[in-house]
Amino acid sequence: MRREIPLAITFVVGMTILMSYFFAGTIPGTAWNLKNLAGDITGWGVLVSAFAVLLASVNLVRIHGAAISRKRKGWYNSGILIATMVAFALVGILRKHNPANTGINDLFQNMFNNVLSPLGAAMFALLAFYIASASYRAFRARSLEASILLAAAVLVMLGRAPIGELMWGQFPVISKWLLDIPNMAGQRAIMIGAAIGGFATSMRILLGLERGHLGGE
Amino acid sequence: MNISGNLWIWFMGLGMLAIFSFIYKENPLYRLFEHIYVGAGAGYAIGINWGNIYDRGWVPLVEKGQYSVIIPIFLGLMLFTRFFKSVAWVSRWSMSFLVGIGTGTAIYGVVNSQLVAQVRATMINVIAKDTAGAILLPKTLNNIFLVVSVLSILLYFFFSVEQKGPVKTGATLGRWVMMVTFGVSFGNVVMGRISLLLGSLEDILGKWLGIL
Amino acid sequence: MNIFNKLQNIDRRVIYAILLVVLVIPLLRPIGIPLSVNETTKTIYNIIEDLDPATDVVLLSFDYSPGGSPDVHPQAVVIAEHLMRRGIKWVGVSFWDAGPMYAEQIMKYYEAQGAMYGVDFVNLGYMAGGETAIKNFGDNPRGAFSNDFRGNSIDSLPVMAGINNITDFAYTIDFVSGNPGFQEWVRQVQGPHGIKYGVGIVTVSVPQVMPFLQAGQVQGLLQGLRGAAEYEMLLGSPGAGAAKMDAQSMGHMVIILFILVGNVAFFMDKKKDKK
Repeated sequence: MRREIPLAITFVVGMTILMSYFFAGTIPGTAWNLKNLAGDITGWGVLVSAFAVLLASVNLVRIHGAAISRKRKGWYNSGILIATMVAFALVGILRKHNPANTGINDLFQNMFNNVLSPLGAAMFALLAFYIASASYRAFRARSLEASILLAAAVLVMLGRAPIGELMWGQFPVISKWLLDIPNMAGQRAIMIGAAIGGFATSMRILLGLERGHLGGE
Repeated sequence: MNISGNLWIWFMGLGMLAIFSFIYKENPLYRLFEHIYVGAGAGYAIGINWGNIYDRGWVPLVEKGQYSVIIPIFLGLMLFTRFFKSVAWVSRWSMSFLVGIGTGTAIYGVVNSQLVAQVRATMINVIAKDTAGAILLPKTLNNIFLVVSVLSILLYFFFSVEQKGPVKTGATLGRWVMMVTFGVSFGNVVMGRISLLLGSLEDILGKWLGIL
Repeated sequence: MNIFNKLQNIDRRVIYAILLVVLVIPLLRPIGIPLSVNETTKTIYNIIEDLDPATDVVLLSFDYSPGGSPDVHPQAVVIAEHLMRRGIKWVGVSFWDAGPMYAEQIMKYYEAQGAMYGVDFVNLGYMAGGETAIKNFGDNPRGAFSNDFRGNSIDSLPVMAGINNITDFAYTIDFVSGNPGFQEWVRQVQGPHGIKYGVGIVTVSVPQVMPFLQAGQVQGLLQGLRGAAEYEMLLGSPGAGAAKMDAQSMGHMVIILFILVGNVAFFMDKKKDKK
């Protein structure tokens, strides 16, 4: 039953949602409206997803709490992590329950604008350096296909930068053509293939043939 | 130079510099701000998601008497049983519920918007004409190239037929078109990463140091 | 070890330093390279220009994270500016948890200039659940939120008067940096309900939008930071986006140079080894 009930839940919930796209009215012999039922289920899904987001935070506390209690190397960083987490969580929850309190609102906005947002942006900005290094050291035109890839990349970069347009007026035209025609064809074909694969996988999950989401025993 | 006197801005500037110091060498300052960032992200997620739990769970149940909401609340709480080995199997019910919603929405959405709509958009009249009925050669050539490219890439991924003769020619064309696709993607990735770096540099040089 | 071999094995920190210098100099000393405007940017501009301030309400979805904000937030800022100039009311919603705070940043700026929250704009807040949430909101936008991000009842907000279905929004613009994003919006809202839907997206994901643009599922596209800069030019107010375009140009040129030098060094070194 540990596997059968979850599979049944997946099937019933999935079929209800799927059928609601095709049958708008009331189910004959019942007072149930599939669309309303699907709306309720997706609303419940939003609430369950909110709990799921908290899972990651709980896991972080477990891991870093263990690092602190066992005084592992760098345990003080784990302490700062948990302290920061508690600070943000507390202020966020206080903001929710005191929406008129400008002090708490401003504090939360400042914490977001000057801690979370810029540090997150800086983390992703590091990728620019790695792509520069990769462009120099790794991207080699070793074959015809690699040469086509690099040529397309260079033409797009020249076409999209204002300086490329200054160098030769046709660079933006070529870049636009590459984006609108071959790229679009490639993205569409890959999307069609992925859509067929996604449909097949979703059907397998719905019918209980795919059980990876259940995990091991 | 007009350096900001705001402590928050100073924290922002020093934090961003600490993150960027990683490109020189991994160091304790980078690790400190990395942990601050992870903690901030997790805490922010709790703070914001609490709103969803309160508005969609607590208020309907306690203030509006909508007892059906007990079901998703229980399903949500059941997710946390995965941390206890003896009852971890209980969390499968919640996962199955979410997966069921996901597959139900995905099947319709993917087939309607990504399969049917995209195939329909490929079934174009390849001969492009202007309002006077004259053939527009560049647009016509583009349309032919578009349809042939989509078909050749689909042929490349068609493994049920041995790829030789005309099938191999078509698949080879498909591979070349895909290389252009990946090249365009790479060009956009480079541009995107530089944009991200520029945003951070603007914060450091403008907001903090007041040089811009 | 010949010079080409040395070139190939150059310390990566030299590459990082060159990139930094090339980007910082144009930020400090802008060159003023002219910028042309893409058709996809003009589409969004024209749609907003054709809206009726007396009756039309626009939906802005803030679906980006701090990691994507340097690329996408300037787009949201400039679109909000256009809407405010035209006196068009707008509603903000988010399916990424950072979204509401970016919406608040923009709203607080206009409130400081005299705009009225609830009358000119409203921030519905964040809805967890990704594609499930987008479907739930698309099927019943009024029922999806009981309160907005600031704790006000939805029914008390003048902007939300008359908004009962997703089709009551004259135009929806989605600012996206990943999943859930435009594909989920097309699958669950644009497809089933046939809304007018535009996208502002990170540069990295621009190629993926093209099939939807050609199929008519997406009407209007802002392509990364450049899209924001182009829109600023259309509004006649160069801002954060336009200021970075010179540095963006230099960045592209230096990456192209790295690719060329790296390949020349590789092939010349290979040639020397063969000899």
